[in-house]
Amino acid sequence: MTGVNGGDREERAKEALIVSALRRDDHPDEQVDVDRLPKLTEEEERALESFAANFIERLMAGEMDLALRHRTNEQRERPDSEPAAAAGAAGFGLDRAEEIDEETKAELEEQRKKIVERKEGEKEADGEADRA
Amino acid sequence: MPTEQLPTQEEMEYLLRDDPRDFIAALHEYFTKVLARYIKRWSWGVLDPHELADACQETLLGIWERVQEPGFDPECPLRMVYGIARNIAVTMRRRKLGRRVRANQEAVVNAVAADLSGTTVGLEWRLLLPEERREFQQAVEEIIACLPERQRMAAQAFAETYEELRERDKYRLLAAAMSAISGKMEDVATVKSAWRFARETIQEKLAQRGFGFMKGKDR
Repeated sequence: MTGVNGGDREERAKEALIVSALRRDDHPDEQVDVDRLPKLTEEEERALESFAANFIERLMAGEMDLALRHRTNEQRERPDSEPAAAAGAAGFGLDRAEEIDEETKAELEEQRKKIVERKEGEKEADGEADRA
Repeated sequence: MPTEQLPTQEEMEYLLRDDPRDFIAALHEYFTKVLARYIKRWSWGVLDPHELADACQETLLGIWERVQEPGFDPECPLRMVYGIARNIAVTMRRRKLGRRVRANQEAVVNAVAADLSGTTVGLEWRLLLPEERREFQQAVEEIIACLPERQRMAAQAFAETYEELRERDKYRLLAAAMSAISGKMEDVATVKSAWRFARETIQEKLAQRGFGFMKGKDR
């Protein structure tokens, strides 16, 4: 990481977490929390209604447009070339073993202890607040 | 329709085993809007209303073709449904942003790993519980969806070009992706500035939601 100082590295790490949240490629959902999905605009609702009319009848009658069919086959393929196992929430480079020098390792160990202590303190405070 | 009023996975599986036509009809009746919203989520809201409707139609068509394939396994059909919807959404999003449909996912993974390596932020992430990680990811999506339009577009352009930006450090890629979203020529300086504002807002809002380690260095 030549040319990138400590503060910038932390900022780049934050950017990486933002990107990985958007471009994650984990297993498809089985249940979706509908309340947390983006809402449709009135225009989008109208566009949906116009396609929805007679859709099933046309589908069953085999009347779907051939061009659309070809497009669908192409689009249905995984858009990303690597298998999901390469990515996923846990495997998205987010938990990869670190290749770092001894000095950085020691600094990180120190940081890790501080974070763990802070989290334990937070938990205790939460517990006390619940009891109060 | 609230989640609890939608047919369950088991009910959908029963329909599928009984008659795929009933399954697709139920999907169409109960899930069209859910699928549209799910596609909107994975396409980051960059599709116009007609493209979104096209994506829904193609999803249902794709599902119909999939369930008719010989040897198709009808167990847990909603996983297949959302999988097809997501693939179509991502494909259409990448096309819309002028990107190759097939991203080099390994390059993204490597860039993320390199950025996190040896940082306190990376350490904070690894110490999060699985549900906290899911909450983080959901929060990022929600915060970006609520950003002012230019900032939202810049964030989307940055996310879509990230691995190449890290590899080549050429911000004209970011400007090109932003141009594809906004529909007009964007210059590098303006787009970089929009991304900087977007990033600061995202970090600040994540910090407010309990992810304090995301707070910007200047705040």
